[in-house]
Amino acid sequence: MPDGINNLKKRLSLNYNTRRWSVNLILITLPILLFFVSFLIGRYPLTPVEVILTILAKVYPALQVSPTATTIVWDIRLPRIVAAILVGAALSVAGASFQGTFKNPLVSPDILGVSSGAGFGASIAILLVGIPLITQVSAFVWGLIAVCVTYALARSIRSSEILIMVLSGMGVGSLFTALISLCKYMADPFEKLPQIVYWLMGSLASVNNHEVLLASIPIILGISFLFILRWKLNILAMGDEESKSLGVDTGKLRFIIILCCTMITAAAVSISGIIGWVGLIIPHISRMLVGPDHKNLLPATICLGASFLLLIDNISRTILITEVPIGILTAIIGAPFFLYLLRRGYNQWT
Amino acid sequence: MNKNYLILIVAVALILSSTGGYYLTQDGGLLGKGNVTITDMADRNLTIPSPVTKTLSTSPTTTVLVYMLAPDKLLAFNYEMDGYELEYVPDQYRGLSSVGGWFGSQSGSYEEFIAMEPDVVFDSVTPSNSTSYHTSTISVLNERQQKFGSIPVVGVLDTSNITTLNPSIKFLGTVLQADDQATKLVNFNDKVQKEVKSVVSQIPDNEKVKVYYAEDVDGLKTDPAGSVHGQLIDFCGGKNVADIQIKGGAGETDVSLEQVLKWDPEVIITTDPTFFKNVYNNPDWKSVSAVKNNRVYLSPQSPFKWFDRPTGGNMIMGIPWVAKILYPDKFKNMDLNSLVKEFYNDFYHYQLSDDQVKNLLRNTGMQI
Repeated sequence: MPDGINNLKKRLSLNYNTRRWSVNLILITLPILLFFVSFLIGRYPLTPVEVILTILAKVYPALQVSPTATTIVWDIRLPRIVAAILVGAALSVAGASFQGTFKNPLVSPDILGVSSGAGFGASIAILLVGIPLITQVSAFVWGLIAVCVTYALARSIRSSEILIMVLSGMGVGSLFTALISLCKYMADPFEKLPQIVYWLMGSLASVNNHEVLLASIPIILGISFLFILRWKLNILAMGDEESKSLGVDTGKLRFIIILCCTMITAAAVSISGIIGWVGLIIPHISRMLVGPDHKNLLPATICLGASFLLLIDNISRTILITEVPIGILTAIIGAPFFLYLLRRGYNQWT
Repeated sequence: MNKNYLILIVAVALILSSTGGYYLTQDGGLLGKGNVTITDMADRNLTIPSPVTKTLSTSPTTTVLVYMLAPDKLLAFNYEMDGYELEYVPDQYRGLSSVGGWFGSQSGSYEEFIAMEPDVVFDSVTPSNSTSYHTSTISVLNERQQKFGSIPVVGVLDTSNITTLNPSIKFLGTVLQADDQATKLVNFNDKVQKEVKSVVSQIPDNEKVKVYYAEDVDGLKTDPAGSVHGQLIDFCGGKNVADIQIKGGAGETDVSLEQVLKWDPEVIITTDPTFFKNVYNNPDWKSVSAVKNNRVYLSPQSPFKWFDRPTGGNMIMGIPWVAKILYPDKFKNMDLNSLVKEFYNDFYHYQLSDDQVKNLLRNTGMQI
């Protein structure tokens, strides 16, 4: 047996094909495995058999299961698991695409102000209406509006220069952050304000199947588009001069990619609130595993991002008797990694 | 005590006991449980078991009332009770664990709640005149109901305000089949409020005592007039010196020492034992009138603070106490000791001797 392991080790370190093949296998099986395991995890003591029976009971109504188990599996665990997968994949893919588009490894999905815009949309909806569904839609719409403003500003300066785009994003982002503060200031301090603060903190604790279904439409659409366009990202990452010489309309391509990324990020933020770090670190880990080629990078970030957030959310809903806000956990794990990257001087990719 | 601190305590306690989730062992429910249909305080029709024997609440304000009205029907508190808080908890309720909940800035775990198998879950809904507001509350309730599945989520009008508390007490009394106990509590509440109001409503504004509510270990956090956290100062005719914006959520606005010195309160009320212990030896505070005249008072801690946090039925006991520390001359004839004895006996299920009452009041900083 040890011989076999040593043999495999040797082959992994020497044989590029074997390594690529095993990395791919792990990346594909990890989210699938986690998806099923997550149903077995939770603070309510359900045995694996009970969980499996409850799931089967949907198909074979003849099976007798307790209504409590049905609630736990279908209304509490399922929406959270699916939401974690969607949000994790969305943020990571958007992060990877933006990093390629802006040729900057330290870009996160909210570089153009989408999170602040969505945060403002949620705050104003909580302030004026307070119905969760409206809050979700408003967050999504305002996230799009914020990026449109950023994009229009950058274009009006008549330059597709990345720096101008990023600076506009920073400006618009801080404007919306100020508007969020204004909403907080005007909010009723006993009921509305805690809701706003909690929403901004980022959590999957209150998602339900309905919300997840709604958000999954733009997320799946956007990710599919990016997936199709993934080889073109390589062209953008080469730089404007080179891609122009190849006859690619960089402005148009960049616009489409920004649109897709914004759509999926806004949809993700609309169900989860603002969750930091995922969109920044997952693309980096993926690059270490599969290299900088976007053709492989995007599928890797989808698998890894989904797995990462699912894992974190499982921790967040089981570690204490109360929910630990997921943003705290992603930052606790993400920040040290980010600092580690800084130390390494991350310059192996272009 | 601030919420983060609570969460920290909960975390530490959990790690120490390293229990990966504990749940009460239930003895089988009563035989022949029926069902009854009720309308909750958010106008929702619900079918609940009858009699209700096991309940949980989503936030401490309602939990406190359940503990007062029908402690045997309470499955768990919302936070870990610390040493100070357990002092006057009778032995049979000391073992109650914490289930967490949705209050301040924290969110509870549905699975944790369901695992305790409550008959009903009480959820605080905020009263408001604006219609949109009510919708939001209803939608939050319905959202919780969906997650709790077959366990009825009973909306109880928010109990954070002592003047609008009585209907909620009566409603809980009905659901818990503790009507007599609820009536008793309502009467006690009315009695002390009337007694205090009749005196303090006569005090002209310029004669009102200037009060500062000191929160946190350094006493440099506070809540202003109009906030639920400082409501006893308003009610008992004190003038809350903090002319700051009301801060939502858990409250607690940071203020600077210079600001406090400038306000120069005649009375300081605190809920923090550490601050109370140190304030007289702290050179920074010695020039404040309240400190100079020995008029810093500490709210009793057990089982629930009299003054604030939680903001619920526990504050009823704070009404006569705050009145007496603000205006000792005007309330000379109010027998606070017997009120304390009555309240603890009737609603905290704990019999205090005369000496214990004296001790308890002395520890608040009163000169008895």
